[in-house]
Amino acid sequence: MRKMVGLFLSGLLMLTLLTGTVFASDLLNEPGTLPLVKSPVKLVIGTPAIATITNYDQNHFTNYLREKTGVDIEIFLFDGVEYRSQLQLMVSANEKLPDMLWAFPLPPAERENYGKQGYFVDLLPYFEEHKLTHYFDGEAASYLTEDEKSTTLSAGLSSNGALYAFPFWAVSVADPWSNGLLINNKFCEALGMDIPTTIDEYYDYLVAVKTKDPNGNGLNDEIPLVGFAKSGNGDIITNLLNSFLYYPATWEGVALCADDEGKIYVPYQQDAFREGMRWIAKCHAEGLISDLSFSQDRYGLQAMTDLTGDAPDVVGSAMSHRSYMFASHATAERRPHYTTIGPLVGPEGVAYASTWKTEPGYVNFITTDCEHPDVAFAVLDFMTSAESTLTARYGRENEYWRYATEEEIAGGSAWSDLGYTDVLYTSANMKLAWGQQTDEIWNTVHITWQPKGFTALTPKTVYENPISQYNYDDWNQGVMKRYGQAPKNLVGSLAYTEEEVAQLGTSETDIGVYVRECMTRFVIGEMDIEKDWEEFQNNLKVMGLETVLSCAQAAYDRAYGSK
Amino acid sequence: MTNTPLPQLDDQRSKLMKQVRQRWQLYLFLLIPVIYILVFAYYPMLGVQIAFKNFQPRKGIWGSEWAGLVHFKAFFSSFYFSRTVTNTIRLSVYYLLVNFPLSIIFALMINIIVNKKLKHTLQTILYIPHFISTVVLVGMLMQILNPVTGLYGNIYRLFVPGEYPPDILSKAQPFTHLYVWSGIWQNLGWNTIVYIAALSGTDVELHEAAQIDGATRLQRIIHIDFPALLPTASIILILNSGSIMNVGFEKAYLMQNSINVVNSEVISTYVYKVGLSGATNQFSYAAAVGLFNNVINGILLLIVNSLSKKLSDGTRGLF
Amino acid sequence: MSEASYIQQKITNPKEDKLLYAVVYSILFLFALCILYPIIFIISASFSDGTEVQLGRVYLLPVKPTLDGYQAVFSHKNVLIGFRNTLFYTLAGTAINIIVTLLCAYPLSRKDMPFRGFFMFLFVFTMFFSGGLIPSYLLVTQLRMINTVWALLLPGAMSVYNMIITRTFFDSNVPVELLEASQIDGCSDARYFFSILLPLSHAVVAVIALFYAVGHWNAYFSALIYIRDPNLQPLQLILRNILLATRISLNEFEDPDLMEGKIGLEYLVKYALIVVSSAPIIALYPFIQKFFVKGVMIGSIKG
Repeated sequence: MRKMVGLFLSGLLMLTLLTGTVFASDLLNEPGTLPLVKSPVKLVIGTPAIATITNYDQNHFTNYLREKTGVDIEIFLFDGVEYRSQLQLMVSANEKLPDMLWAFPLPPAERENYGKQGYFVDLLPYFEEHKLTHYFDGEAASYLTEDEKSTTLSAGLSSNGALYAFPFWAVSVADPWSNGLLINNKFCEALGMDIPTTIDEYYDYLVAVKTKDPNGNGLNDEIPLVGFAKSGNGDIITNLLNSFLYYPATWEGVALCADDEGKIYVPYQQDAFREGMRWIAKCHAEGLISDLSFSQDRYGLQAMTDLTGDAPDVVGSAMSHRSYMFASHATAERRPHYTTIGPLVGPEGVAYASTWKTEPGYVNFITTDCEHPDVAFAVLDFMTSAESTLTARYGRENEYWRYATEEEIAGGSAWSDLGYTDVLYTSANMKLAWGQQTDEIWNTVHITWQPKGFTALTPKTVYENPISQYNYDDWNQGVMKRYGQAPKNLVGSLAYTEEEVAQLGTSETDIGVYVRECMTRFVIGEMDIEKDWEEFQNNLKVMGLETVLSCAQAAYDRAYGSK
Repeated sequence: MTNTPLPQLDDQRSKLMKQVRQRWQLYLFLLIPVIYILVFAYYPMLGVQIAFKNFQPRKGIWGSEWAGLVHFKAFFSSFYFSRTVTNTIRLSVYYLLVNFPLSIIFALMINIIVNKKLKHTLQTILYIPHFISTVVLVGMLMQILNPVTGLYGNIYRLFVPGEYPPDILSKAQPFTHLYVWSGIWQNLGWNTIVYIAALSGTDVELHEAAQIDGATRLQRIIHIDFPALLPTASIILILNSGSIMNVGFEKAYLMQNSINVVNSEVISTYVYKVGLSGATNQFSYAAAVGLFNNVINGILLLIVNSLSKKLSDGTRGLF
Repeated sequence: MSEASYIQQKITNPKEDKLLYAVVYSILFLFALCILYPIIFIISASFSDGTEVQLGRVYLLPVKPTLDGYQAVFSHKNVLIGFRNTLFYTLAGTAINIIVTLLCAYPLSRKDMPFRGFFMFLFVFTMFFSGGLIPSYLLVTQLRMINTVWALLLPGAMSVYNMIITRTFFDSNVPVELLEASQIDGCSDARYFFSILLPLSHAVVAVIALFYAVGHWNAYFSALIYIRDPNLQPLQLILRNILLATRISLNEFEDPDLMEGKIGLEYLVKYALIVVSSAPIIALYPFIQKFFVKGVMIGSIKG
């Protein structure tokens, strides 16, 4: 039975491609009118259960959608962690899948696999038809730059040219530029030094912290530089390397980069990488980098910086994402002691920020078990509207968020300096549902349309608590310094063909793990950057680096080359 | 060519059938367990062919295409094959060599405590750590050993103010020892339970007789208590050898960092990382690796089993 | 004067014994300390303010004592439902386990049963080879046990490991003379089991009951896969979800407001959770210990 429905729908889509018309639905009203459907249609939506949500069925957002779209929504919950396995089991047992899967993260290869096997509907025809994309082509597109408009669909294409998921953006202006160094300004004062801006000034600062006892307690307890492990946010090595060459923010993935001509390369084959590793290794050899940076998690860093009372500061500089150094910003006594800096200028004048390519999430699917895919698509389209997004992100209008006042609009947005001058909404000083036990929202960004053009539409935030205000201001000035400091072409997710996947085997995993391991060992001195470099490069070749590069190039060209 | 069986065989066979008929109640007992094992273990076992196929859920287990040894080759030829297998085996064998004698010794020690209340209280205390989840155990371990903010660092600074002790967590060597000994801390008490139960069956009269003969407690332990444990201990040793390849994913993954990864990358963490990338057919790959583990486990068990039988004149064995 | 007290008088502790006891008691005492400290830490942490725990400021005694952690756990209504369900699964499950295990271990302990080795191999083989998650799921689906309690009680009805331990006890702790004597008296195999073997096997039944009970108590993955109905969920699954709710996700983009709400909550709840989820089962052990009775064999064979 399922096979037949699947075949039927696939045949339908083929027909669509050939004749260029979507099977006209009697169920849908004219585009732009609400409710979307003439009479109630039932749709089952599957989603991984987020543990803070107390009720999905009578959730405010669910009811909002029911009211606005006219669709009778039924929720099917997957486990919040094991949803991938659950889907595989359901599929193996030939169970009927929900009509749609929302907020369901899958690696691109798995998404493509399900699509090719006929479980997900190819949505590209719907987008190309422009019949059901009222909000997507209208409101939603108005927040996108030209560049983002072309990426929105193309970044999600599988290697066979199909688009198996509906894109939803979720990026803030600040987030891609939020990893960086914080300098202890009190130490700078005590040492009579300015906040460093170049790599050489920074080196002098580190040495001074180590040798000149800036916290004045007569003990040699200062830690010049510390970060944390297991995520790119506290990663000392990749962040400092950006003063020598560009290195993307990846933890154990393969750091694929593209030069201005679109040729794929990896930083670790470059001489500048070697230079950078030399510099960092030298710092470590002189005792300027704490080994804990490679083993502790962010709570370990917090324990060192989030001090109170008489405990003297020990940390001279820390690598962190803004939120991780202190348990609670409202009470973080020492936060004002730290200043965020922009990228340090390297010896050749290089000063990149370690970042990543922002892309929409492709985690909302229409399954081929759905009997009304056009209605499903229309619902997803509606969710790209501003009102739906705000309701999904915050909750009820006027309780959890509201449209901005004239005054606020005139005051400009928090990111006016970057060209985002408009103000649309705010949630400051209103009720908060995000991150709380609630039945107001679904607590996931994957059902909201928030490109940076949308998240920037908030007025400048004013905090009552001076520490929170300091945190906000300090961090934003760091973001401003890093903003845009990246090469022209960034490499995002790539869609490989089946042959390429077979060729790659476990190479990507192996290389990612190996590079991370070697970078650390070069720094701590267990591997010698001069003597062991050859071996390092050889091992990369043995693991299949050439194959990884050629497959990546092929996938990249397929996605971006012809533009 | 005649088909008449030789008289001896005929005789043997009818003897056998007679025995089977005599012991019919035993076979009746076995009925339910056998049905259970056939339905819930052997029928699903047919799914082990996933390891030799490119499993596609749409086609199902039987319909998926044969891929031969492709997944095994992918695993064996991986750069990290020897490292993961070596680490896995090293951790397991080290743990086994420490845990096995210590469990026995501690069980014997606990057994000689005279005061019942003390004995029971002690046992309860000793096995509580078994219930601490891995996440909490590793978290506590890392917190205590932190040279800046942990107990380790604070105690060091009592002696050497202002200095930080060498960082244990960021070195490769200590990982193996930390992994094993934290496991001992957690499970030793629990592992003694079986032995204590076995010891409770020792004949009090034997002890009294030995005491009259002037034997010390130590001698009594060696000659009475310890032999009482031997049957259970040998079986447990054999069974544990059959799970050498099963080093769990969670603990190694939590304790892993890029410095100790040379010792901490075990098979299960590696398979997890491969699965995350989504690039390979992760179901078939994991199945192939799992099958490889199981085969090695089975071989090891058979080896240890026959060793045990040899050393005990054929009495202590699984089969 | 009884024989026993005469013997008591005769027995004196030689000097070597005192030394042995001293050594053993000290080792055990030290080991117990090693264990007690972290246990006390966990209990204290469960009663401490979450932020203090997160920053590593709790060493021995509770810092900023609070019941917030426990409150956070019990404020979830389904924790009590979970308790109820797990109680049921543990009792019913362990009962089934013991029955099937005994049914299996007894025949396999009889050296005079033909094809014993074959059956043994049949069971042991399954410890090594299994089809994995997908075939098991398909089986449970085909048997229509999905979303029923049977999915949690039947697939794990017997652990071969525990069965082997039981068989070993039968083999070695019960003398074969007992069997022979009973056979002379005309006792059938089944009657031997019920009247003689079983009453002598308190200790091993207690041990495997404990092992199985703990297994059921800690189980959550099967329920995750097979159970959809929230009213059937076991305790550990619910507790796991509570803990997950406190984790600050690294994927969603963050703003300072978001962080405020979750500060310290993870650490607050984590330790209270351990205490809540393990205290009941730890309290079970003293009852089990009663079955480890010495000298059960006295009087069974004389002469």
